[in-house]
Amino acid sequence: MSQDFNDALNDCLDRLVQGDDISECLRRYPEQAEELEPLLYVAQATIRAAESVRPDPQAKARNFARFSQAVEAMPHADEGARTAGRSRTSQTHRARRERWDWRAWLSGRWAPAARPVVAVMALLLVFALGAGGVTAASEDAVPGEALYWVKTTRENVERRLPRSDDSRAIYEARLAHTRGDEICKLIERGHFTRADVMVKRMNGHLTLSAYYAGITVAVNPVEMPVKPTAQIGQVQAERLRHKLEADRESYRATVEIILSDLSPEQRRRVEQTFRRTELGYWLLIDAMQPGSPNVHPYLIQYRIVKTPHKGPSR
Amino acid sequence: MEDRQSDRQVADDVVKRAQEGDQAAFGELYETYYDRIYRYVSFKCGSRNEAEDLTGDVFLKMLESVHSYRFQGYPFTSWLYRIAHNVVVDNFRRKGRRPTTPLENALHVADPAEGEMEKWAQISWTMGEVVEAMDDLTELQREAITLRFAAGLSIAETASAMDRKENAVKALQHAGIRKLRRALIKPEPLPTTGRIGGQVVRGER
Repeated sequence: MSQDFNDALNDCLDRLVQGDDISECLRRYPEQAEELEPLLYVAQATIRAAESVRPDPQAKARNFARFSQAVEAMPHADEGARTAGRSRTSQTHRARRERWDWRAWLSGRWAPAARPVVAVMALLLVFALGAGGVTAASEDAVPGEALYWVKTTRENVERRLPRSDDSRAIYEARLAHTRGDEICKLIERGHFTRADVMVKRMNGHLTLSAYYAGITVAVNPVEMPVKPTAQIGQVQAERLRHKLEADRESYRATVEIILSDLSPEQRRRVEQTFRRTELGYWLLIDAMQPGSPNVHPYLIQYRIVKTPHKGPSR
Repeated sequence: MEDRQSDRQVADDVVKRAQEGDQAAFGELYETYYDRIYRYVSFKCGSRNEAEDLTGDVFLKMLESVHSYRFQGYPFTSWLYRIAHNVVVDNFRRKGRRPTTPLENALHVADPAEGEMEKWAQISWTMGEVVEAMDDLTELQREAITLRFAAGLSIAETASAMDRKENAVKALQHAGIRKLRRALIKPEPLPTTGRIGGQVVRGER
């Protein structure tokens, strides 16, 4: 499902919330009207059902009394003083800024030395902006596109930056999510083989994420359940698990939309690709939940074969 | 869009006054957001009494932390709904249970106004049915749908409240509506058996 359709649907939903008619929305998007219509009716009925819920006036008044008491008990004087203090500090900063005038500095006695420095800095800025522009433009690139190498090069450079194992685990999870986005885009464009290749890379990132989080992902999870091999920092592990769960949810949502647009044959092929990626997520998330059973329907149907990675490259 | 921006500006002014200790501003915030927060909480917990208590708690929490709210491109509405989300989640955690499907009559449903009968008659799903159907959605889809439809947030506000990109929220919303449709519109059951030309046939789905 293209982003255009999501945008059209969203625009129509905004209009519905503001009280517009469904037929008016459909007239704006004649090409997508057929597909939009049933979804808009569902949305409209949901909005109406929600609007029918009103708070009980007595309960509202009771809560207001509780709220008012709490407001009155607030330390206003202290807050006022704090606010006044803040504004005094910001005035001082402003005054300091006003005292320093860069134009006077450039045209004054420092002018002979300042001009070449400024010229070099401007040149560096232009290069930096140019490189930044290309890097930003490569954000949405997918395999097969001209700027994709810029994206992967930037990722490889970032991977080599010194950081803790916890942040490496998070970073690898983020890369896995990026690969997931690329898989979705490739499938939308009909590049199924390329998408299959990306699944391997995505699972590679997940395996590395697991490694840095202190988890050994089993080569064959049916015979050897995934389990933590080291003590993971509680806070970091939670953070990583939340990220992985959120990424998986968002990936699933996109996948469901894509699947609904494919022909049955294409769907059969693509479903297998998606299952392999989902399994990668599931194994890692499950391993981070102590005490959860390592049994999953996918494990019976699909055996993931992971090439053992050569270890972290620092 | 302009309406939303001016609403946001008005809300920001009221919040600034509240941060400076203006009691009337707190009253305005309560009046502006109470019904919407209640609707959001009701959608999430499904029980009228619980929703009333939790909505009251949301405003007390807001009061405790309003001074730490900063105007840095993050809408106050999104910030408030994050508080509401945390209050509901904490409540479930405390009680050791997940959200349950609400009882049909557990929520206070307003009577349709006179003359609106025809419009209301078109509603084929009640609040209870919708919330029950929401069980089929993933946690994130449910959150996106609740914030968009029950709380009436814009896509940008929803994205801020969920800490997601707008495109991700659009995708979640799309998938959520599709699932709701599947859950709410049940296909007519086919006859299990019938007789054609003297032969007994079995219906297929």
